[in-house]
Amino acid sequence: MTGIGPDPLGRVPDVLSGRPELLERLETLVRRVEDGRLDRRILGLCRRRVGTLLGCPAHRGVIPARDRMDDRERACVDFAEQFVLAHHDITDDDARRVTSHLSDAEMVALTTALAVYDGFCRFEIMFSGG
Amino acid sequence: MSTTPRIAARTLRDALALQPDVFEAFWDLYGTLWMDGRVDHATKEVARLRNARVTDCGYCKRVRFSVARQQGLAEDHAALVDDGYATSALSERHKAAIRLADRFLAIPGRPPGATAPGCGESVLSPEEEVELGVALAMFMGFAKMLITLGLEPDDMPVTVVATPGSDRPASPHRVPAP
Repeated sequence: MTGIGPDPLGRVPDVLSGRPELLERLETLVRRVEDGRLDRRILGLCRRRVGTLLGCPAHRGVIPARDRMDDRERACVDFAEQFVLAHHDITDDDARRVTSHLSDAEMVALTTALAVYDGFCRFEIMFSGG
Repeated sequence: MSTTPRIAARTLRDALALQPDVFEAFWDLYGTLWMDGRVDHATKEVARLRNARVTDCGYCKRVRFSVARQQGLAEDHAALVDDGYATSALSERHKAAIRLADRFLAIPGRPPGATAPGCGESVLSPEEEVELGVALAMFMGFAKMLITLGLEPDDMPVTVVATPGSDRPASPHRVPAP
């Protein structure tokens, strides 16, 4: 359950096989996002939660119950859910629940990862029949 | 929604600069997508504006990219990317880009009338749809990032900015403007 999983782009490389200049740069972006400031366990939890909410076959997966997560993990996963389903409903109090656990750079790392997971899970669903 | 920054940054560029390696990779992909793409700038800009409207990104709605403007996407055309687009004077190509965007943004749901990629009903080629899909993934993801970090401007006029990547040397992939 720990870790982020071996295949961050799922079947996206197959869909982009005819566009190597885009695929190479996308792979670099994902690698740098996942090797960045935020620990990989949190990224893995968020990736699976985003995949499950969107119905993405490559990324959906069970995550531990909330009471098995620490406060930092729980805050990040809750934020991930709002990011995907209701980004405008995130209040300043909601945001403070996360920023109280993360530095600014870690907050940017979290939102960058969510942007990539949300965007490219949808891409995978749309173009590889997910 | 909040226009109060939730980190010590005023813009998305400032925020991404807190992770320089990621910023560089984002900008390289985004610039390549815009400047070396197979889809013309005006069609990509229509998809970007549709995303801006659906995700309700105050910054994205007010920005216009320079090369799309040079290629003919004037303000009166941009204004047609609204609820009544289907019966508007927009080209069939631009309407197809909007239908594709609506389908992408509705996942995990499915809006009625939206065109399925590769179904043969779109005036866009499958390769163009894939490129627009990459574009939409970035438009949506990074618009949400900007919004959730509280980086939307309080007020901002419509502003034309340089298209990402337009300051780079032309690559062999670049498609000349029509």
